[in-house]
Amino acid sequence: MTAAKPPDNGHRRGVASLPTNPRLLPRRVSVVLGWSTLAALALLTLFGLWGAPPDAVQGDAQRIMYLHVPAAWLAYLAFTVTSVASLLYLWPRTRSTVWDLLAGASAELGVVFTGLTLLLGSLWGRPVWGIWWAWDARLTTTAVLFFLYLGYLSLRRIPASVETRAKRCAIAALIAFVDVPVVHLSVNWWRTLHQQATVFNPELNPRIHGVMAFTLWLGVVAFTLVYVYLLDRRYQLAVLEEDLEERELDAAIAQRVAEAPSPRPAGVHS
Amino acid sequence: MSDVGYIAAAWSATAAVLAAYVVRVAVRTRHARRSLPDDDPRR
Repeated sequence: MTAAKPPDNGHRRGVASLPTNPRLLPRRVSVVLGWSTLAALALLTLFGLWGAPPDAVQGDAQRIMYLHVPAAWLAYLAFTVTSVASLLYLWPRTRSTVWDLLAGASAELGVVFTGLTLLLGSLWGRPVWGIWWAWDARLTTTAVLFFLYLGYLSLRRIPASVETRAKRCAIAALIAFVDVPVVHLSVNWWRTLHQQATVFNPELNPRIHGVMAFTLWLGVVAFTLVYVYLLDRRYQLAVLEEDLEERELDAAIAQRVAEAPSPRPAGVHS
Repeated sequence: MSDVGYIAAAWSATAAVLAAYVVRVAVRTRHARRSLPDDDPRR
């Protein structure tokens, strides 16, 4: 009978591989950012509901655009950050757990913003198109994007060593990102019920002006502040939970080793 | 439902989703921080 070996823990480097500082931003900056975000959202509500004039064709229903479009752009931004962080993780010279945790945090926010985009689009589509949903190219590719990154978040929850999880999730994130330009260009590639791009159209000639353009950009600024604030908070949570998980795993391994039968003295045979 | 109803639903849904997410992250952060040992530098 041989002595019990410690359980194989793969390529674990434990708590030491985690960033010591669980914050992306200094605490004071985060507090100021939080209040600035609330102020920007309040201003957006004022301009979106009262400041901007109703649309000549769609009437007041078009006001939903001031939430729907920024939510969609922020989803693109969040998934871009996830992809860049994933690339930095895969690149051996820049490999760090920080990039993996940042990618995961940003992907979760991207899913929130994509879900919001779909919900707001549906609420806008009903009064304007007369339907809640259509299997239109833009809507369908956006739904695919939502489910691709839900899959990515599920992949992150599959138990594995930090390195294994980070590597396979980084590859999955880069594959999922292929859908982002498809979503954006879908209105140019196919005939769709969804209107063509108003700002980032092929001619790069924005078809929105005055107070309406101002309100749209205000929405983009407000949602960007929301994103940066939440990314900082979500990253902090990711570091803390990773730390906790590593400690629990270390404790479980130590317990298994302690419980294993000790090796028999030399010369004693069963 | 009138246009006003859809607009109110859109604004309320956005506020509810973002607020729910902020609360969820805050609660999990608090729980994680409390579960870590006192000497943990990340606490």
